[in-house]
Amino acid sequence: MNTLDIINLTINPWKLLGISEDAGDREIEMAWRNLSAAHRKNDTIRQAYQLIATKEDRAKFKLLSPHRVDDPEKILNELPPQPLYSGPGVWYKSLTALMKSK
Amino acid sequence: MSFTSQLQNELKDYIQCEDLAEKERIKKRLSAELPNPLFISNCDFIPNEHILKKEAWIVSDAFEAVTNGMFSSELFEQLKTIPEGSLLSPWAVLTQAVEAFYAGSFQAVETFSNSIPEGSAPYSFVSFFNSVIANETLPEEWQRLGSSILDNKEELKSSLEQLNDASTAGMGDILLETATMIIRDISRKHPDTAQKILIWCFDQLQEIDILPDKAAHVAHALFGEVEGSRLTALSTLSYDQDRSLVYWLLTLQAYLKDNSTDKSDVKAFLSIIRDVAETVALEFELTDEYLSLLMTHSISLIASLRHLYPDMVEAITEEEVSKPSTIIKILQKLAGEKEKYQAPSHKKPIQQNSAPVQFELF
Repeated sequence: MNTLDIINLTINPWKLLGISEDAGDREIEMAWRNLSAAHRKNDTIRQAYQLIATKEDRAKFKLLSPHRVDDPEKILNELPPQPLYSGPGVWYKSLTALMKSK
Repeated sequence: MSFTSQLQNELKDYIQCEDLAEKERIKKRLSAELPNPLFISNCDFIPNEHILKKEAWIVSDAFEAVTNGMFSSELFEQLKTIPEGSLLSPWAVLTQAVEAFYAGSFQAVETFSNSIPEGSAPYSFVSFFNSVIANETLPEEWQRLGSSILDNKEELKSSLEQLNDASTAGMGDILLETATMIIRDISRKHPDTAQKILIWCFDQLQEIDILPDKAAHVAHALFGEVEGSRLTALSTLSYDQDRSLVYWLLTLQAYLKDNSTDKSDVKAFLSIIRDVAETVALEFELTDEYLSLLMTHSISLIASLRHLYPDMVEAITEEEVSKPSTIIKILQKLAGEKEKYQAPSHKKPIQQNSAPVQFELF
């Protein structure tokens, strides 16, 4: 896929195909085939496969990552959740409250 | 009868029951009602040497350690000794999911939470984990837990607001200084987010017509030579393809200095360089000065490639490389033939008739 097309994409091909970023050619192809069979004519799935089909494609996609965002708020939203240590109490209490409400 | 007494009675029945089918039925009920493993640890009527109590100690100790950031591989090994059929097994799996959650391994969280038996009390946490992994607003019943164990990112939010203000006011220097501080703070834990912030800053600087050279120096200082050059090349790709091309050449040169290069990576670099060179040739009026600059970098690049991957440059002669007029063709030739499949249409318009790149950096 052309460089200028790739930089305008915001998809995560691994996530779309439901595979880990360590997946090799065979695993990627299998995931694409399975999903293609289930969702016929799905362009996004085909595109995801084309982006990472070979080792060179994957390297190119990674060199052109991360995708740009137009608003810092989106950067914040894309940041994975940050866990804080709080001890077991709040976990137990939340579950008890949920069980009581049910 | 209180819930606690009722649960204690059921536990007594479970321990004393000899009918396997009945015992299984009681276990199912208990599994759905047991609010935490401490409940069993604290039951005086269960002897300390009873397997159920030993398992409850293991799980409650492990859960306490995990939620306090004190988890050890020893505790993990002990957790694995709890058999699948145990009443404590759902809690053991939940503990592993929580451990993965604190480690930031969301794929492992998903795997473990999917293994929590449906119908057991810990199964309720599956909806919590699903919302957290998907970065969605938590369901009401998990709001309290969420506010206690998830950072609300207030500090970063405020820093990003400062960035936005600096950008709106067209204050390039303040924008870069603030971005540098934020990136330094978060780059170790969130390299991807740090890179996005840098790219966003480049975009803002280019929007207000500030040349990205200063940002390029910041990128080098923050991310090192290869990544700094790559991010500069990537950031300038939508605005200044001619500048970007030079940065891609510099990035590949820097990458080739590394001892552990990979041929697929080199091919990927060359494929990008070919695509950008093609756009530059089509969209820009190329000055002799610019072509000479490309030639200088290409000679150095081809020399490195001849040393590391001679087969990739065997079709290119010294004579070809020494002519500025053919340098774009050489850059296209380096990557080999293009793939045959049809690429989707562009979403972002390419800047037309841009002024030739300025050279103060090079």
